[in-house]
Amino acid sequence: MITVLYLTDAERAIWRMLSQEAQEGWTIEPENGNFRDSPQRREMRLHLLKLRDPKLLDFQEKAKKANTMEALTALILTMDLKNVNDADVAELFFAIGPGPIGRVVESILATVTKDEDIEGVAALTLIRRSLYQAMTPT
Amino acid sequence: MADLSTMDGTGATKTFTVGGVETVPEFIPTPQRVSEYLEMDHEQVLAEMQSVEGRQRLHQTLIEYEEDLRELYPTFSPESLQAQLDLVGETLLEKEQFLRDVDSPEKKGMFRRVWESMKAFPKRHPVITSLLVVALLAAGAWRMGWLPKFDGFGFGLGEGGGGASGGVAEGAAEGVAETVLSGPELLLETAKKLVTAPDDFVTIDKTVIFRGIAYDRENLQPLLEAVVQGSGIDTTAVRIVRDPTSRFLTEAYLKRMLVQDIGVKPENLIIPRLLLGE
Repeated sequence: MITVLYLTDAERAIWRMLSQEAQEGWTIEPENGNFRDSPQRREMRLHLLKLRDPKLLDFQEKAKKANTMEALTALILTMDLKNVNDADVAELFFAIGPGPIGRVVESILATVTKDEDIEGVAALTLIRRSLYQAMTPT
Repeated sequence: MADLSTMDGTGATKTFTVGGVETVPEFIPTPQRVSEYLEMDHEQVLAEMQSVEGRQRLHQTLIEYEEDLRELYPTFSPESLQAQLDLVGETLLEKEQFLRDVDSPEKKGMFRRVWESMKAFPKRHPVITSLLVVALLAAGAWRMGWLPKFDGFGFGLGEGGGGASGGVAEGAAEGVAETVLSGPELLLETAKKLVTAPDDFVTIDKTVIFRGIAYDRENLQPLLEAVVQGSGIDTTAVRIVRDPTSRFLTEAYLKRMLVQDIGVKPENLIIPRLLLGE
């Protein structure tokens, strides 16, 4: 089980507002990543996205053929990541970058009550930490 | 639907039609595009991209074909080619480092659990799936040339992707969206914003844009205080952007808290209606 959450100052402020019961059993470490993203970098990451999973490739093909926004929206909302291979999930997280992950962490953290939800947040913070390490010059 | 029948042997598409609008492709010097255009081995191009000297050699070679490139890609800019190649090279290095890290012997087991968690997590938090799927779609939109199709979809992924940040700046000044969205539409809208928006806290002049909060009423005030004080900005405009998972907060309640309790000047308060639900 993942038991460590790497949280920013603002996220730690949210964490402290959770009940003592919810906080028990988890280790909080500071996240100080300060990578500054830009539209150009984001665009380039999307250009370099390399997918192999047939499910994702099939989704892109279907999206390309969707003729209306309604059809496209329906397609997006019925898509899930079940059985998608890990390497492609990693590729997708690299493409979106650490910023959006942080915003999801913030929003979910405020409403978590169950351990499985907290573990999901912890997993997100691990992905973000690894992205920060890769994207910050040493 | 994009008509890709004009795809030539270099991997370029001379023109294609999307929704009745003829568009021309942009030359992005990705390894695949460069190797196809120069008929070089893909691995060799990748290796060249890894170093400053290698990218300079690729630049020199590509510039020799400037005329041809201009014909194939009317927006081709020799002046920005070197910077584009450098950005490709840097991004490739970052990606390689990330993928190597999550696949390293000491972390592989942990990340296997991370990925499984991410695949199961969205059942309760669908914004994660939406976020990844929108990224998938955005990548397709750029790489396959169906970007114009998404103009009406609100990606804000215009030329050079600059539309995203520009939109935020304008939005801060104008109070942006007036449409009230809910349910799946709000979820999608949030995912799109997450993909296209800049970092968490963006300072534009004296405006702090604060995104993605989802708090109970009793939790909101101390957090906002921390953010406003932490920003170190005296005259502060706070823009609230709610996540679809958050509970309902009335506009009146937010205004009272920000103005009376935290001291934000009323004239600097921006709360897009889009994000307030009712």
